[in-house]
Amino acid sequence: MRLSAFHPLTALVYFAAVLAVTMFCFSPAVGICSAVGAFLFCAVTQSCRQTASDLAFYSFLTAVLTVTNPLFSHKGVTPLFFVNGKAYTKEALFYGLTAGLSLTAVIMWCKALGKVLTREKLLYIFGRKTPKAALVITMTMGFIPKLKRLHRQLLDALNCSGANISDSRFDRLKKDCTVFTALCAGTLERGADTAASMKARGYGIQKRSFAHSFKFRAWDGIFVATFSVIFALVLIFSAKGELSAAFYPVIKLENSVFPVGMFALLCAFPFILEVKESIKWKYCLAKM
Amino acid sequence: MKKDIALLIVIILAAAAVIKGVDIQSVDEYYSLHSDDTANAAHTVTLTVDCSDILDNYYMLDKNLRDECYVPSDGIVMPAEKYVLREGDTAFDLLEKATRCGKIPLDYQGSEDNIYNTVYVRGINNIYEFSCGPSSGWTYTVNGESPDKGCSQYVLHDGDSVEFYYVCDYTKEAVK
Repeated sequence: MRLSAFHPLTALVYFAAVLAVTMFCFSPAVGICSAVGAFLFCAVTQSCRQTASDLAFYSFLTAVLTVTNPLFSHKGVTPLFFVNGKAYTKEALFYGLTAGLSLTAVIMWCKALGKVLTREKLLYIFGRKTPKAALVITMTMGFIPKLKRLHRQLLDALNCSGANISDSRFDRLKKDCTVFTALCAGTLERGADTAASMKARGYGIQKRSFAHSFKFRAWDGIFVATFSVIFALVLIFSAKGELSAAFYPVIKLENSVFPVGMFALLCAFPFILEVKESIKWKYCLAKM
Repeated sequence: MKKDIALLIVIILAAAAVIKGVDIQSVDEYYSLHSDDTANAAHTVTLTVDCSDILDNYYMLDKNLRDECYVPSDGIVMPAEKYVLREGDTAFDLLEKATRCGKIPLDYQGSEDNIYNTVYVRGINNIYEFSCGPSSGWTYTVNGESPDKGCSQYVLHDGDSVEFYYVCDYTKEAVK
């Protein structure tokens, strides 16, 4: 059973739990576990090329955060050198690295969430109680892919009209600016259009009916119970301060192996399920 | 192509301006400043750095700072010492020179970064603003009086006695 085959609520609660720990336990161990778990899941559900480009981009993001943090924060007892008379410290460098890892992890989990919880599932979860919020969430989730598509269309249209004459970088930059302006205008127009057309169709006036057949099965119960226990254990340990880290004035990592291991297991769940399913599929094919 | 070259030149110029404005010193270089001999100097001033107010509010202090090397048991980070006064030196110049000589970490907000046009001392010896309660921070007196100027605006005179001291709650602190 893949994570996407579970009941939408199961998946939503799972992501909420993982994101909560990632955001509120600021420690390198948590950041690494979370980022690796999310990254592995994304890697098995998308193309290798996309994975490589993700890896490059998020490594770069983390590196930038790591290197720039000591320029703004001068706390810490170990100066490496001095920039304009202010200390560039090891502690601040390490703090930046942890911040970068946490940020990467949160972005990757949101990406995974987008893969698992499709618009239909989100509408199913939020549509009954808060139709307006559901519409906003689904529109937001679909925003980036739509933007990419529109960008491609605009670029193609411009190229077809003969704007692709110059190899100069300056001209290309100018062209990108033109496309970007048109993109912003187009997106705004589409947003207003969607809102108006949904209103015209009476969305949100009465309770919406659904034709989905999402059932909360025994497997959902087992899965929720398992990760609730792990989540509770992680929470207890973090309340005891065993998942925290202090960076200033000296780095103090108070991570015990058990809670970190538990959290790593929690993060690896979607990846393990995905790999298990693909092995099963290959095995079935081989038997035929 | 011409536009490309122009763009490249602009980028190079911008990078050069950034690099020129950045001065990188090694740790040894930064701390290699030695205090001048005060015996024959015409003008001298005295500096003390005191955090003894923390000792009365120790329970409020950040747990990671509860150590002899950050808050000494007598509360004196730098005991009263004489320094040579150069023409036009401000209270902040004195503090910076003294902390560099004594190899004590100093962190501050530059005068160009706030609306008061004066340097704000954020932390000395890793004791920072807000390290000991939400209204705590560093302030200073000259000859026992609180000046109505920032520390990088106050020009010192011969024989002045400057004290930088830590306040745990400035709302309860009487102006000296």
